Amino acid sequence: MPDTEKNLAFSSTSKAVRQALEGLRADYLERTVSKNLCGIAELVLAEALNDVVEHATARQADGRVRLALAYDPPFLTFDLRDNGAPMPGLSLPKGAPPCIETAIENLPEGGFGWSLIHALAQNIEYRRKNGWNYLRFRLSDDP
Amino acid sequence: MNLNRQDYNDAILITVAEARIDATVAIQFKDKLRELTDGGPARVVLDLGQVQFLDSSGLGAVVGAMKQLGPDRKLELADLTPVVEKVMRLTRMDTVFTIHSDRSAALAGLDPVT
Repeated sequence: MPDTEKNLAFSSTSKAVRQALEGLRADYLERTVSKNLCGIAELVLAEALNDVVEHATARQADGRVRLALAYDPPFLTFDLRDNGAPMPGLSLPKGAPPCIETAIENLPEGGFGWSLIHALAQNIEYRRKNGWNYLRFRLSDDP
Repeated sequence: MNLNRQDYNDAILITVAEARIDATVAIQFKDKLRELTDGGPARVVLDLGQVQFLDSSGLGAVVGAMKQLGPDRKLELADLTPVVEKVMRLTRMDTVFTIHSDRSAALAGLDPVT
């Protein structure tokens, strides 16, 4: 397991997530990986962290997130943890994309997050331990 | 939320002068867009050339904006940057929206209304 390159801790709010991701991009991702992989990382992290903010920690004031990443080219491995509620059924959402074969007025405005994560990340693992959710996944440039 | 409107014959061009459409600005985006497009012509072209990042919250806002226009009006997108293009493609929303390479392609043949 390569050494951890970055370790971040922040509150579980949309604003703190956005700041953390912008900082990670500017301080590290932009200078380390390709533009494409940088974009993939920002997107997958945003989706996973939005899920933490909007679901796991939605009903608490003390939501916290820790993010660690390791880079062993060509793979970026992320470890996220949060102190929110457990995933329903203690398992990852399957990420079936919402149905879009429908009239415009019935198009879904949400539910895309996990299908994006599954499309872009590999080796996604979830576990629950001592009141924390642990999510790990690996990213690389798509072909 | 910086959205700029330019009127053309039979179309409105809305330029999104923001780098990100994400969870923090999704609601403001929809509201501002509704404000700018209410009562306008049938075609609304959204120039996303400055938007470097859009996640599923941002996508939801754009879909919501399209639904707000109602069945007789059309929301078209122009000038997608790489992450935005990726999101549209992976969610297959590129089959739902008309997507132009840039604003000139979207507005070909239309004159601005000064």
